[in-house]
Amino acid sequence: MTMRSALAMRAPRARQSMPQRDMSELAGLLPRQQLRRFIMPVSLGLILSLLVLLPIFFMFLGALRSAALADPAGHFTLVKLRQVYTTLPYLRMLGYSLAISGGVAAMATAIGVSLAWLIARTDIPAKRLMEGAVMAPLFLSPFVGAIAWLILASPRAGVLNVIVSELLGTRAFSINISSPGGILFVMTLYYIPYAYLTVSASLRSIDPSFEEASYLNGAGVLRTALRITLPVVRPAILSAFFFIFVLTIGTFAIPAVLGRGAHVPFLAVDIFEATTNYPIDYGKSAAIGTLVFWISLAGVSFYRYASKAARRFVTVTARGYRMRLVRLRGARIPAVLLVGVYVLLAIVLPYLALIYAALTRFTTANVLSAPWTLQNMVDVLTAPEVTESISNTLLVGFITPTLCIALGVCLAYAIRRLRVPGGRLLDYVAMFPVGIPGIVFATGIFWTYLLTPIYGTIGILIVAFIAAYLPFAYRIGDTALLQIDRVLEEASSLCGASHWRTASKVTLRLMRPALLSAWIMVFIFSVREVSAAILLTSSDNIVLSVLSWNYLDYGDVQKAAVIGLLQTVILMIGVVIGRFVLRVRLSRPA
Amino acid sequence: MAQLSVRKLVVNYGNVTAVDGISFEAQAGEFVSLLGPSGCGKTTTLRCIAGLESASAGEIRIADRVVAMDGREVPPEKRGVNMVFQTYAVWPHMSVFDNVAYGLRTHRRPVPEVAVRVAEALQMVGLSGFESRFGTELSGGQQQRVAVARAIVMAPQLLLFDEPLSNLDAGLRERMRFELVTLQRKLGRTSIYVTHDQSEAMVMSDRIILMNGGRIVQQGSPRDLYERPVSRFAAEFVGSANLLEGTVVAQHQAGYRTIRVGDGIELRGRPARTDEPAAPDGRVLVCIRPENVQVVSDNPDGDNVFPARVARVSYLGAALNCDLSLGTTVLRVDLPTRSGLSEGAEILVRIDPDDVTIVPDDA
Repeated sequence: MTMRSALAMRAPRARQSMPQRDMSELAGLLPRQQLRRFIMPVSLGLILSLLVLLPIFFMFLGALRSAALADPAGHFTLVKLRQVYTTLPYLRMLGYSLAISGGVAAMATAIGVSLAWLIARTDIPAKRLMEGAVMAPLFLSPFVGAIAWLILASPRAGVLNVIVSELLGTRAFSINISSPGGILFVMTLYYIPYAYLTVSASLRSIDPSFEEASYLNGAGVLRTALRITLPVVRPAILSAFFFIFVLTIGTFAIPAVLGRGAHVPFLAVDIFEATTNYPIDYGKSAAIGTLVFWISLAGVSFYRYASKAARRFVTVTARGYRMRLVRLRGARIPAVLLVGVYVLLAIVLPYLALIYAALTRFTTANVLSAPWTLQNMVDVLTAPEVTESISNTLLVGFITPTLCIALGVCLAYAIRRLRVPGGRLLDYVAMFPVGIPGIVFATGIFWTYLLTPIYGTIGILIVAFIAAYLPFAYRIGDTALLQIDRVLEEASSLCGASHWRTASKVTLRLMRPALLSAWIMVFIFSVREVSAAILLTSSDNIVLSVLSWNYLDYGDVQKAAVIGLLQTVILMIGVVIGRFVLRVRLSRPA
Repeated sequence: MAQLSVRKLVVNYGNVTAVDGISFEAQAGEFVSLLGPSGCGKTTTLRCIAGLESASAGEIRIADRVVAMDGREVPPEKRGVNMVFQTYAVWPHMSVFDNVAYGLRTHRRPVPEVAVRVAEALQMVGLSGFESRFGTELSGGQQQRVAVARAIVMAPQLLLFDEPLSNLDAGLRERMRFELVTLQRKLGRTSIYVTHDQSEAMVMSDRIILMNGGRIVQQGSPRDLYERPVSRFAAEFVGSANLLEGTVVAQHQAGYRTIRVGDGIELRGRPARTDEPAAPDGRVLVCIRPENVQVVSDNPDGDNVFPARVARVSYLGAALNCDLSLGTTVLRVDLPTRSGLSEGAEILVRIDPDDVTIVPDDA
């Protein structure tokens, strides 16, 4: 296809040599092709500019303004930037944010790698169940998890703390989840699956003879794992580290929920605080946004470098090779227990706590003896703002993935199949949001659409979400397209099918499984997204995650818990429909 | 009227010239093979004919209609040709019936006609009863047949084959060769067949176009190519050959010449082409096919009789493959199994002067 594009761009020559009779047949072809080659990239470029480039531009512009862009009293100033980049409170916050993000990335990667090795390389029993258990938190909301851990381990009324003190008769062993350590712990819990996915894919694709050669040279299991297996997948481990680092630095929900009482400084939280706490300062919020933007950009560069190296190590081995599995023998039970503890901490305990808080009259005074009641449920489910936010959530949850996947497929098709001019640029811009945290993006979206009618509607949420998840949709569309042998499309052309018929009857049909799974994933992301939504919220476009945040903000943990459960039910319905009705394989990383 | 006419076709990929100005024609009903090593431009040529690849220059006509000229082209779906791909390209999400019916449905043929023509095509390739199977449930050979049925059902003006048998195992490949040829003769469709397997091209083709480095080396009937190669490459690529370097020492009547090779052996043979201009220094190649060396009894008459020593014998079942030393010259020959030679035997061999082909030494 390189040929074709190169040729089509070349001006046709030597007209005089073509007999008149043949002209009529050939003449009509070139202009239409040129139209497609011009209109496709230009319109896709415009959409991407609106979605991706404009918000980033406006965020930087906003950081330079003394007041909102529309405010006639506003002027350009460097005060905000100087404040954020050079003064002590912000540098301290930067230090905290980097330390927590680095810690989370290191711990989640270490645990994720261990779990990946156990499940991919040893004879741990019930592998599929184990893998499902490790991946399950991917389909849940970390924000809801944070609320649950607040119920479990807040210093005074945390259910776990109360149980322990009742049992031991002392408060000496109290856990304080509202602390830097607590934030580190809960974030690690919910980011382990990302490390697991990245590294296990790599572990499964290395040549088993690397390890076999090590055994034959007399090395034992541990030595082989540490000296051969891990070094071979080191690039994948590094890319998992930087991926989680970027995810963490931009995470709003967990540090906001857990750090509120304890005043743990965190950049992503302060972006939001600057827009809600007095004195409200949108310029400062944008300025902090630019700081997080640069950190993320650096993280993503490292990530890209590492994952490029990771692909180099991947070897395609002949089929029929069976991986020799490490026999755990006596260590089988501890290995299963390790996975069990993870599931207990990430899923079982949090949801027990949510259910407990939702179904009792839970106050700090009666943590363990709270009377059971359905009143919370009834209160929440009958509140008008809840029914409205359910329908908003579902609307956003359906429109976002649909448009996002459609745009991603168009981009992938134009870039990979039609090889439109400027394809590399389109590719770069489409992947750009991957490194921009939702809350940073929302800052830009906020500045961009402040004065437009779309501001304050669910439309602005959809715009923000589409931009944020476009890299995911585009990447999946691209991978799916890459796996479809061109020959299948060529066979269709030779049967007389037009371009459109080939695309719809062959290409899209074959991409369908991948696109459905991407749809379900973007649905999940959209339903649970907090950080991009919270900056753009208004009374008209409130979604469940934001409502849950609001309840928590008013101190009503029970209502927040009910909303969290409700959100989880919606997510589970999405996963179940995807998995069992549409038979989608949901094992792609975000 | 030629069914296919390719004139001065050039395909460039950046700085690389994949096809370097080739011209050929195929007559209606003819089975033409494009034969050559990988990278010789044969597949690129075929894909240009199909419209899947763009020509940089040159002209392609199908049934006297220009489909490509000076970088302008008719898209593949409007050329009225069809192709059997190396990887079959059977659509995995469609049944066998849907695969074969695809083109007819694309052209909005009425339902009863689709049913009849698909059934005919499937019967033709021996897949009746497989209509509701899916591509993934078929063996390689069966997928191959689906691909053939899908290509012939549209009654294309040209049938194109891109190494269709190279992914089949040896036994099936042999059988499919004959089936494809029988089918092509029955349908009478002009066919262009790309292969790197010379024995496949020999068995199937009316005419072989031998390519190398983006150019046509030689074209002609299989017999022509085998018996009268025009260059070292042609002699080596088609069949196996002993190629000996030598010089012309004498010219005789009826085009026969005497060539001295090795340490003084003088062979009588004749050039592949009568119009062959002799190289100025008289240097030539002599091509002797392994099966054209005969063991003779003592004291025979005639030319090209030499004493030889059997240096190596391999038993191949149908023949004995031997290395014969004629002084310092070694010939690899196939001898009848019953000759019962063993290593070290001293024998007399004779090579018919008509079987000694003189080829210009182009290397």
